Amino acid sequence: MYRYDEFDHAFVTSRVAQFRDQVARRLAGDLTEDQFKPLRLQNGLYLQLHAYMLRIAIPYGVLSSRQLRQLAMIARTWDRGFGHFTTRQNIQLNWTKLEDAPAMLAALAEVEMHCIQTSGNCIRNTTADPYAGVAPDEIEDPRVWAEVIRQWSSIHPEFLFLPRKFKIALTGAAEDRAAIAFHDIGLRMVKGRGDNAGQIGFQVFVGGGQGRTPYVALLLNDFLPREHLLSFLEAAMRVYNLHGRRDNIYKARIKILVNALGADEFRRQVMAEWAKIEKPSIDLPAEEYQRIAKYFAPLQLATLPNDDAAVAKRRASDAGFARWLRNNVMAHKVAGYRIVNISFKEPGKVPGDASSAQMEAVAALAEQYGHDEIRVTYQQNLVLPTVALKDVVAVYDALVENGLATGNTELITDIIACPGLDYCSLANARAIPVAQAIALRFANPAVVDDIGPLRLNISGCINACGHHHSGNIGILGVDKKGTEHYQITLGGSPKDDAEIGGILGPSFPAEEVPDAIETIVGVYKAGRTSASETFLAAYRRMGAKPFKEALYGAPKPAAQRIPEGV
Amino acid sequence: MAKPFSPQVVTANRLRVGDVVYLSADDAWVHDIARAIVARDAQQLAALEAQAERAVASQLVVGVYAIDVDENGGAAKPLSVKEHIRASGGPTI
Amino acid sequence: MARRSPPLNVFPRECEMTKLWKNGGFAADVFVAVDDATPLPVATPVIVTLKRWREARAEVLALAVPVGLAADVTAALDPASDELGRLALIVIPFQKFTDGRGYSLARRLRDEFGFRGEIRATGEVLIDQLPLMLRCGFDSFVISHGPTLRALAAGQTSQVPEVYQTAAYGRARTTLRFATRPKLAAAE
Repeated sequence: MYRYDEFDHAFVTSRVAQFRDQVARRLAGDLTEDQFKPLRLQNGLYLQLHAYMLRIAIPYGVLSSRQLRQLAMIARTWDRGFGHFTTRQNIQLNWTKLEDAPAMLAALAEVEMHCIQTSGNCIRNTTADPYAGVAPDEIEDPRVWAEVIRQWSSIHPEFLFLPRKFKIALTGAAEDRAAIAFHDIGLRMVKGRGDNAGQIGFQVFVGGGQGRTPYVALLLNDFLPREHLLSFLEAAMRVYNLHGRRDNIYKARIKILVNALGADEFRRQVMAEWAKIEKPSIDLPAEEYQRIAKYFAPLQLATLPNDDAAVAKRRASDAGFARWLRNNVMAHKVAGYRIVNISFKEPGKVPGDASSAQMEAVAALAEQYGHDEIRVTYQQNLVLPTVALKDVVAVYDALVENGLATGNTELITDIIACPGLDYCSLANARAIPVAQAIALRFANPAVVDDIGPLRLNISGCINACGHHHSGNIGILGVDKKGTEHYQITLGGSPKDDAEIGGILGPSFPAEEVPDAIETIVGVYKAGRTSASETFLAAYRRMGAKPFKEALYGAPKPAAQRIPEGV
Repeated sequence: MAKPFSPQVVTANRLRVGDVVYLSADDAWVHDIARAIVARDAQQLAALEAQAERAVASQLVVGVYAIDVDENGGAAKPLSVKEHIRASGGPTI
Repeated sequence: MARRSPPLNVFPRECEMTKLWKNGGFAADVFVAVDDATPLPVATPVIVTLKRWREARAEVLALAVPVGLAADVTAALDPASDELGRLALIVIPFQKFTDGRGYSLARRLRDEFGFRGEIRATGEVLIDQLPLMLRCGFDSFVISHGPTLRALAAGQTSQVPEVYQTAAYGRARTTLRFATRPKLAAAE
């Protein structure tokens, strides 16, 4: 992974000093809250429902054991001994004090971490495929360019006061595991064709996002030679910065601009801007690319046998292990190694919450068995990207001890949930208790396995931090006359077949949601053509009608139905 | 037609720490909403808000606003789910 | 009536004192800004609106004084037809410090339009954004915010000296990490 050099160290150290001074000026009254708020947000500090919250960037989801241990220490020293992994490869601490924040940032800087631009109307933490560098289906490791973007976007003087926040995601693999279609800019590394044959470049997508106006991103550039990434991004950002709406916060994201202009006109403006930019002054010099890329050189792994007697034996004798192996352990690009997903979704627990002890346990496992590497997924789980197959049993046993061995990756209980009204000042309804109730309803792993791949996402408000629009089943918390209600959408997907789910019908009170989900799952199971037809495939084939009828009864005459406002 | 005034208390977060507080007697900001001063008409509310703004100006609190409360049965309780959770001091889970 | 600048975008708070910060120190403001209803002053550098610059350019140039343009962040300037090269100064307003259009406008002026005159920020110019403005090509700042004036007078800045990005034309790149800039090397 990338290691800071003296320059990077000096940069984060200066940043901490700057924020310490800003906090002091705020406390002394030289900055009003209006003046201070964007500054603290650009250092990851929110004022939430109960307290300040610190959002720490985990750039493109990559962590070392030392960094994860430091996160555990920070959570224990200045917070309440746990953190919450978010849907954007960040971790949040919920009980931060403003007066402690500079010391916390300094502790992060010690391990080459920061909170820079984890909030605010600026370029946010760049996210990437959590399997980057180890996935068998990868064209090129996107972490190199994610690190380039991290550096380029950090305190970019032109783009700190954009109309609204700006999120970039990258993948270098055939399968999109970074939800690039739901980002302001999504980047996919591709091999050039025709004139570009032999080159690697980016397919650039723009204007995706969830929130109150969800859009799947549109293609902006079919092939951008990778060496021009920064100048092209700069051109796109400049067009957005100058022309994105600033009169209405709900219409300020780039997706609104792109869709107002149309993809063709937006592309024309970006291309015109790009043509005028002096590319050599912006683009990354080749030697700098080489310097960064060298940190992401593949591990020198001794090839090992791709089967292991001890693993086979344990699989035959232990159904829990077999399930975990089947659901959480993925193929690695090197024979004899595996990608191990660590679930923070034990039914009944808070999705994405990790105690300091759990963080330390994972750090120890990464050190002992995982080449000192940990990844964070937008599904709020962790990954050990490189574990020898022969070590998988030992890893499993250690995870069991720490309550981290649930074998439910991308199954119905692997619920993505935002903090909701339990923590968030924007929320309309709680998300966590609903997630817990659903997961407990499906606590029987055999039932979960039988349902098969199913993404279930819950957001506590229209801002959609739980990505409900892209859930196969999406649940949105709404405030209905002062009570928490939940609207259900079906058919969303965050992957290559990206789609926004459709609203099924009127919302349900919290206590009825598990029944409703069980009903939906029942319709799927009864209607699927075979056990291998996934929920999403079956829904797309069957349409919403049987699900609506099961939930709301057969349709009544239109005049009697009262449509519900969104 | 003007809506009847519903009883309200003034809340904020302490600037340095961020914890949730309510405006109480003697210019004090307290964690326990039951000790908050309840405004029973617009004039009382304006007075509390002016008092709160002075606390903002002196860097004591931030994010001042008023919330509706229910006084049935004695101490003030927030009406909305959100303010109920906020007043309880932590998540419900 | 002629007024000292900045009349076009007055910062509402703490406006008892307004100073021009330029080249690392406070400086006298020699320009006088006039709105369209005001006759052009004689023998003093003048700041005019874009409307006047477009409609009465000959009259303005006939004054034979340095001319400044009060730009509007929403107006599309054309470097050729707007003859930006004849301007000594372009003033970019920050109605709110959170409105970042001025940064991109300055970058365009410097890097795409080749503007080499003075670029001045007015409006809500605060100590924490001043280093960003400098890197985007601004050279002078009309400041009304008391704590910012005090901090500048005391020689304080709010700056992260290490920068990863190329700055606008003519800006120092002392601790710049990447991106080479041939033109800039010449300027230094």
